[in-house]
Amino acid sequence: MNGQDIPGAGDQESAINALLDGDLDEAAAAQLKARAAEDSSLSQAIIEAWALQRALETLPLEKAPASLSRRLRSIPRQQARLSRRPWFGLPRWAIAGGLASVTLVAVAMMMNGPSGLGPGLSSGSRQAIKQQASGVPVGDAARVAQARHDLAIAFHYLDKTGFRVARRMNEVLNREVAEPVRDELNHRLPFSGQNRKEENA
Amino acid sequence: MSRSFRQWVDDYEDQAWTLARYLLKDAAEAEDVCQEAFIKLWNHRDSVDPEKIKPWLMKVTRNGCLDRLRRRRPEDELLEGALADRAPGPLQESHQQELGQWLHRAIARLAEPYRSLVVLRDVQEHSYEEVASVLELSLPQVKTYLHRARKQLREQLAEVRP
Repeated sequence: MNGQDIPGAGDQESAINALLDGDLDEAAAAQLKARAAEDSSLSQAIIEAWALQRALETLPLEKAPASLSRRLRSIPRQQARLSRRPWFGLPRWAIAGGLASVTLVAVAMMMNGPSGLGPGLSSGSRQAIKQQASGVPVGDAARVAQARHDLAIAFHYLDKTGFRVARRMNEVLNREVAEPVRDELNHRLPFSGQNRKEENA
Repeated sequence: MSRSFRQWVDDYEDQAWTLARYLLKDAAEAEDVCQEAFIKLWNHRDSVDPEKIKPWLMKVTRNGCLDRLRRRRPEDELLEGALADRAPGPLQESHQQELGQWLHRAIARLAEPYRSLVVLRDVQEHSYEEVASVLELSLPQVKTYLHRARKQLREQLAEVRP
């Protein structure tokens, strides 16, 4: 803002702020000061604005509390941990086990169906199922027994995998629920030697 | 990158915290907003211009504060208003002078975006360009609104002055 831009009374506020912000050149500043010398309300406004500006500048930045600093510094670690956890935090072997279980269920369903002939079954099982489906009486008890044996193995493996997956899910869910509660308590309660011990434990 | 992030935390945590405290006053909420802002910074660290980290972070912090203020019920605002004078704020812990306390209360009474403008420009001394970027305003708008905000503060000061 230069000397020609000195505003009228309506823009007095802009002129005062421009003066305080150092946006007025020397000529404009001198012109404003000359006006202020004749206008007591303008000089009063300049003095008040200047005092306010200095007071605002002395307001300190508040230091972030230690609890916040800790939370901020743990963000990379927490985010990395979150991004490593695929699908409820289950490890790869559990997911593979789950997929294997689904496959086995599908195989078992095919074996029970009239036209389902799973490629992984023994030849005895296939023959027995074929005969059953075609209405031919099953005469060979050994083949039926073989088919039952195959099924028993499949269901045994299914049970085992299902149990391991359920146990793992339980562990993960317990941990996921417990962590936010613990973090929230640490955040809300004053940090004391007692809860430091608990945290370390 | 983790090292850069730690540097950003060192450089800007106090500024984000102070802004959040002026806007929200409630310390627990201010902490949550700051943490959310820094998590966003971590998640967008590759897409944010390194030269503009500070205004980006202040903008996210302010938006987080405004979201929380919008979600509040009127009775919460009343309660907060009653507590604001007693709870130690950014100023009261280190500056117990009468003028400082008065200023803190006066800034808290300003409406948005005046309050953010005064905090960012006059208290934290960000450049006009940074303030414009944080508040998504043009430079002339920033100056006009800031003039109004300062005038309101001066008028309040005149009222309490003997």
